[in-house]
Amino acid sequence: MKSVRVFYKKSGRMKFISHLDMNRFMIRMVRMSGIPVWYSEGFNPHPYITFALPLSLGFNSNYEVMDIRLNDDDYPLDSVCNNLKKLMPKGIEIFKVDNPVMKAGDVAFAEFRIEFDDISLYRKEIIEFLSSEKIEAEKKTKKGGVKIINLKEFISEFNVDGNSLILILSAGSNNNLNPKLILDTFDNTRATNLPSYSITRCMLYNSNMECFK
Amino acid sequence: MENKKFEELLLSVQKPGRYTGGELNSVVKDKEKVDVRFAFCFPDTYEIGMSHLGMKILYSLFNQREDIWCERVFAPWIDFEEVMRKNNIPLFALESQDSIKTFDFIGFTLQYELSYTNILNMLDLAGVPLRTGDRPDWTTPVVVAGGPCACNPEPLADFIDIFFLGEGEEVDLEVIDLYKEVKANGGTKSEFLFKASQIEGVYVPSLYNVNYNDDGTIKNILANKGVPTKVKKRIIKDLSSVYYPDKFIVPFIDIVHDRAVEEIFRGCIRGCRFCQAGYIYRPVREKSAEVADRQARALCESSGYDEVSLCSLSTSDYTEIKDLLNKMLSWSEDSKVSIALPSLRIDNFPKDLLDKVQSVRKSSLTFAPEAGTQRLRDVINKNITEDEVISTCRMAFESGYNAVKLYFMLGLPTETNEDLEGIAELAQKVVDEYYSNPLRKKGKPVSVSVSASTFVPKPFTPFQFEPQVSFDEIPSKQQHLLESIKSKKISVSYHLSYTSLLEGVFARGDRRLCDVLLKVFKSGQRFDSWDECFDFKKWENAFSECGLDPTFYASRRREYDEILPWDHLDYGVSKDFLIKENKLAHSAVTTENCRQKCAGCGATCFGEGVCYEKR
Repeated sequence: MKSVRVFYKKSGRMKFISHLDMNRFMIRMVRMSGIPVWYSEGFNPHPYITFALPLSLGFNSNYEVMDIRLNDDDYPLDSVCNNLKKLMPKGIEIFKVDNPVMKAGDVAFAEFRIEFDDISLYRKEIIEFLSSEKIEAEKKTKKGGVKIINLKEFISEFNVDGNSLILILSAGSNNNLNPKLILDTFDNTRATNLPSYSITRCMLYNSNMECFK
Repeated sequence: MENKKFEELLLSVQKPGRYTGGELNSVVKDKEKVDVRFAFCFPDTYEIGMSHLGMKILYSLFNQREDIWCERVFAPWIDFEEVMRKNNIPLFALESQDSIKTFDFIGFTLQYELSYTNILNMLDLAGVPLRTGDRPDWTTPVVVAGGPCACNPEPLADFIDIFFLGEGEEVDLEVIDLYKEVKANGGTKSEFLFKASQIEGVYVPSLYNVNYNDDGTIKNILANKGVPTKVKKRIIKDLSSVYYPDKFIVPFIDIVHDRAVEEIFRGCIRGCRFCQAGYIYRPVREKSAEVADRQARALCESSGYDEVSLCSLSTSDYTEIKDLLNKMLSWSEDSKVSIALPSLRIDNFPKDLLDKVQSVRKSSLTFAPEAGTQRLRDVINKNITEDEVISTCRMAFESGYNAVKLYFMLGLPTETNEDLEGIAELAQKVVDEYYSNPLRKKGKPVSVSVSASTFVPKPFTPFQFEPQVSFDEIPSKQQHLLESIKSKKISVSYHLSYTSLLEGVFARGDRRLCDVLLKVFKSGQRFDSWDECFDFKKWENAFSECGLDPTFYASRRREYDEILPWDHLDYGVSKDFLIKENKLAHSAVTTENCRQKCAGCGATCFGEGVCYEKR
């Protein structure tokens, strides 16, 4: 048994498919692909699929990472890629299949590009906001409560490029920050209403800021 | 609408995946290259509609034809409807995202009466005039409907141009072909409707006039000149050779029944007197095991599904069930596909085969005794005895089950308190059976859930003459049942009585109800089958504004010679037979099933199926 890592882009209408639904969808695709996939043992055998980092509903992504397990260690990576590629609907583009280099748990940062219709009115204010020492926000806890966190601790880098805001944020199972929380906090504290935007997750990094491979 | 704006709006609603289309195996064609665009509408949410087998069959069948493009439309949930209305987004089809207002056909499937307001809402959202009289020419789509509720289509008569009675595979295409022909020759819509009415299985309600007596009953139903006085339903003669899809659309989001489905036969031999499906789908016609096996396998391979369910009204009555399962097991185990057998009677089923099929998910067992005493089960002709229930439970408990679901109906004809107590007694016997098993796992309690729904009399059943229990009586019946239950191992659930009343009204209603429907829709009512949307007050108001009494339709006994709103429709089963069965019910005499002895229902007229099997 071996794991292979599948890299794909998610865009268009597919961004309305949630993480949980993607999981079930990919299991079906893998079942159909004819790839010698490894099935979990037990009462309800199913292909074993893991995603490096869940993607929020409504986000595009240029760098989604999914691991699948094969029965046949010698099965060529090209065949995995081609067999999956031809099944994918519009909006899912598989661009690479490789042997995993890092562990899925190594993901520590994610880079987002937030494209606004027109950001000129807010450019200065956003930079000022992101540069402040402390950005307090309410975050829902898993238990259903609310706690105050300092967003600043989770913002690694930011930059405004034309009408886009680039953010590198903490990611992974422990310190994950959703860029929407930053934008909502901006709107809430300044009583503004940012122009409409779309969010793309561009890259995942490990703790040394190396691209996740 | 601009794509970006649309996508932004989608992000503001629940489950946007309901509205985006693009699923695996959905069909996209070039609209310039087709002659007929058909909007197949399911008047409920995506998750429910996408679970429906009939839609899958007709969708694929239509799209087999190069000249037809059939697309799916579902009722938008209330949050998205609000967004649509606010932003002037007309109702659109999922595949093309085009407004359906310019389509050739809009077709609805009528699965349950409480979806009728959604039909009006969908037409309204599409920008199509609701009444047929306001759609006189070709500038609007032809609105058609079919499905089980089409057997009494009268409450929708003012809104639907054409009803398809019976099974649609052939008649739908015949009507589409006629449409192409009439349009090509420059004919009018009324010419088309008249010609369509000549096709067997087609009912054009606007070509019939209904007159009423002073007491509100029907005086007569008059067909226009040249229009058939009786419309006969259509059936498919040979299920093994009729088209069946080799691909199912595989939804991205979770739906109610998310699996491959293989239909094994149509109709039912049993003749339970409350069950409409048992009469309107007659006669029983089976698909051969060989064909069913091949189709099931193709479906799994083209969808990636890991579960296939056999579909029929009563799996155990399929004569080739063992043969079929053995065939399917030869490939399903290797491809990790599990086989689901709904409504299987396991009491006389080979244990080794059962173990193979149900190797997973051993949790719960379901029975539908429907009534609490043998007397009442004889009245409704439900041929299941207490001994059978208990002995099957014993088998199940011995092989590790510890949960049993029992389905019953309240308000059946001739029901007394004794019958309600019988429900509690039967449930108690199941509990006792569990604890009498010395080998049971210690510390693992049994759970018996009793579900008691309210009986609704339906057209084309022997109970079509019966009054429905009035909704003041239901709570006391429910209460009596609750008080009869002594064990904490038994839980009871039951339904809201107002929705049953409404279901009963529309099931046996006449075309005067069209006005009620229109009124209640205009007051904002829709999604009646959803508790969070159902508002009985609005219905009460609509009835009183139209001067109609719901109890006239629901709680009144019909005389045998009364003209019923569906008497001009012919489903093969004769009214005389239904009267005979009704009389037998009142003397608690059962009728043998179709394979034991022909009861002479009339379905032999179709010249096929179980009626011609050797007994």
